[in-house]
Amino acid sequence: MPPYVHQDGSERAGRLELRTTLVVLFVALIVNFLPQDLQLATAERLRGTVLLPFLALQEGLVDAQARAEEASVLQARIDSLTAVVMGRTTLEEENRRLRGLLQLDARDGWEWQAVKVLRAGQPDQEGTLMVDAGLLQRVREGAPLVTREGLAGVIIEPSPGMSTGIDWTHPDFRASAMTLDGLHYGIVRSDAGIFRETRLLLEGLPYSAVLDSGTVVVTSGMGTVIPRGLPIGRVLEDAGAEGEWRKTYWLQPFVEARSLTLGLVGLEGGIPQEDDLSDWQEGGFLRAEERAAREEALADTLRMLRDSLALLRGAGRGGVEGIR
Amino acid sequence: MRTLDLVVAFLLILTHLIVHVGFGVGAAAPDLFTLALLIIARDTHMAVAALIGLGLGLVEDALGLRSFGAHVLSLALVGALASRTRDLFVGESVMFVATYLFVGKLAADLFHWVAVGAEHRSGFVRAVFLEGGTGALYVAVVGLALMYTTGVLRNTGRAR
Repeated sequence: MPPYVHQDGSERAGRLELRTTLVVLFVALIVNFLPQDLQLATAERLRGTVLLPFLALQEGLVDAQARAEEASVLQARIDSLTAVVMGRTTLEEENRRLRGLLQLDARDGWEWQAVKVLRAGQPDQEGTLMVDAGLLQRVREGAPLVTREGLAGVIIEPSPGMSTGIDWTHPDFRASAMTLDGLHYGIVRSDAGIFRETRLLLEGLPYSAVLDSGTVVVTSGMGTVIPRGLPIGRVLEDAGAEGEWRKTYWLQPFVEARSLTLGLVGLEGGIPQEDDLSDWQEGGFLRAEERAAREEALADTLRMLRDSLALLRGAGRGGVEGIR
Repeated sequence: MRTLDLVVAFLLILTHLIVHVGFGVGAAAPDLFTLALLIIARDTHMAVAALIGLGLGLVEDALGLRSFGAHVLSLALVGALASRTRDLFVGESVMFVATYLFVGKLAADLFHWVAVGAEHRSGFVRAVFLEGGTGALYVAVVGLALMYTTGVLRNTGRAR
């Protein structure tokens, strides 16, 4: 390799530039080994200055999206029945989420903060998210992020006004778990497949444990600040054994991570009064699309009942008039 | 350095922030930070290129959770090496520039994979060859098209 020569051809200036470059690279290396507090403070400062307009843009987009959905529904109500049918899908979906969160918030002894979920958007930061609540709202490290369907993720790094966390698709996601009957305990973690499809794996079960597909798995509340009883997923199939002493199972998560836009974060000082299982009654362990289908079926049944009643009323009135 | 190169690089950085941070688009959008760095580095001092890489890396790492500093180191290294290529390789053909962008982005991913630490990184083949290769190809195609249309390409790799 030829000796480094400066643009003006001077070897001395070239040496100086080489030294300066080495200093810059040394500083870059040092950044990797800074104390974590200093790294977090630097990241927080950058998010509060350089990145603030861009984060605000994403927050604004989420707001605008929600407002647009509401506006489109209002407009649809006025305009025509066709427009109502077209716009109803998003409204119902959003209403269902918000109603679910409100019900969840009102029930147990935990304190929850409603949050908007933002995504970092970096290719190598998949599974990382930001929520618009932080230390000022008493959000703490390790706090659970939940939706109506169950546990969606955890907060990793709370900052004053915003917190960073991970959803269940992140490689670092771990949650102590148990089957709904409380008989089997294990750890749930995400597992990326060959084609980057992220799945949940329940591991650490005793070799003798046999779980049927469809068995509901919830948080066990052991060892972390995640309360007991938050739905995680349901057993899909046996994932094999670890050696000759432990078993693992694939889970179908209740929460669809990609559609995570609104949620609740557990706040500091929240003490579970009892199992949070009361929030998810039997038959309430559902994925969002299953809940939507069930509510749609319920609405159809009600509509049919209403039509039947109207027919009966009409027939009754006709009969009375015939007698007259 | 030409003003045009600076303007294009600045717009690329701004676009990267709007698309990735503002709109939350992930791997569907190319890594315009690295592309901007590679464009600037070909026409500037090694120390300056490394410093720009360091700055861009800081911004990139501020959005992450773990391994703060991995992008700082990888982009600073890529900036320095890309600037050094000016004295080692001379060329302005489409093939040369495409290779330069492809290898530059691949090197950035490789350095990042090394710097990110064993506990946070995925497998080498997947991270560097599959995802890195796809990302590098994406950057090379987008970069080439952009440099060609804006006129940056005509000056790239000019012998001194």
